[in-house]
Amino acid sequence: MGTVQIAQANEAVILLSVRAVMGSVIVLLLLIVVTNALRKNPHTKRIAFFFVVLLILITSTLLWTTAYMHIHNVNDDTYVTTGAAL
Amino acid sequence: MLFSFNPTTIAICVALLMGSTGKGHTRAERHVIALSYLITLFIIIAIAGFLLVSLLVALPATVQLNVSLLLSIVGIVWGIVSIKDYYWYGSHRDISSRLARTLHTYTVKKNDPTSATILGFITAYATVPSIGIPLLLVSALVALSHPYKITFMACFAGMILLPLIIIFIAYLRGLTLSSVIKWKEDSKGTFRLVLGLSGIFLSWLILLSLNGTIAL
Repeated sequence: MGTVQIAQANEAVILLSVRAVMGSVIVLLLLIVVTNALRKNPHTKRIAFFFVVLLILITSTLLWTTAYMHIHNVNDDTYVTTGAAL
Repeated sequence: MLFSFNPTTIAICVALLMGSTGKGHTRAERHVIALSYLITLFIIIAIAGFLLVSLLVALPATVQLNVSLLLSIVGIVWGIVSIKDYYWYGSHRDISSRLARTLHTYTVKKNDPTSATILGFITAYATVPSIGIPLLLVSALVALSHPYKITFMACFAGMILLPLIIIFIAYLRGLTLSSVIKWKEDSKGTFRLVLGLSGIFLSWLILLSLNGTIAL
């Protein structure tokens, strides 16, 4: 019974890992598409760069916060809330 | 593999090949010169990666995790600066005139296997701004994997050299070096974008690993 539970838990972790990596790749692909489309026009260049940096910073901050809380065992509720937002 | 597309290594490799053509070396001599350069560069990158991983693994677990957390910030900042170069290619990317003179000496003036080996060392130093941070990020990722796979660093060094090997083979099969230079100049911004996004992706992988989402 224990072995089955461990196998199921491992499967869930693998599924979550795949989703997380796929999510990151999708965000980055989105950045490339938007960047290429807006970079050609000098007027939208600054907006494109701002959008790209903003998206990177938001995602990075959320990931960094959850990583920090996980390492330092910060309040579980906060961790779950941030994780859900992520 | 995306990190291998950096203008610095490609430019130095092309300069070396042009130098060897200008000196009228035979095909075999050109092989030896190019291989001395590639092998030296491969060994330096692999050893640097191995040392970084060993250093990170030797740290206490908590310190290692905090260092990885710090490295991810460095990676993200570096990635954003690289992406900035895609929009406005900065002049700060130019290497110092002293380094440029040294590179010129070892690519054009002196063109033999020993000079190519020395050039490998100089290139490793010259490319620190381009591949130093990716090397740190990959090392952190390898150190976080349990058990860590050191062969991964050799793969990383091999992949960094892949475009150079392809350019060398294509050159032997008749590719003109001027077309490589044109391609490099036209794609400089895209190289930076790819480098920046790859750096950010690696930083995110580190963070995902640290917050327990992915198991390396």
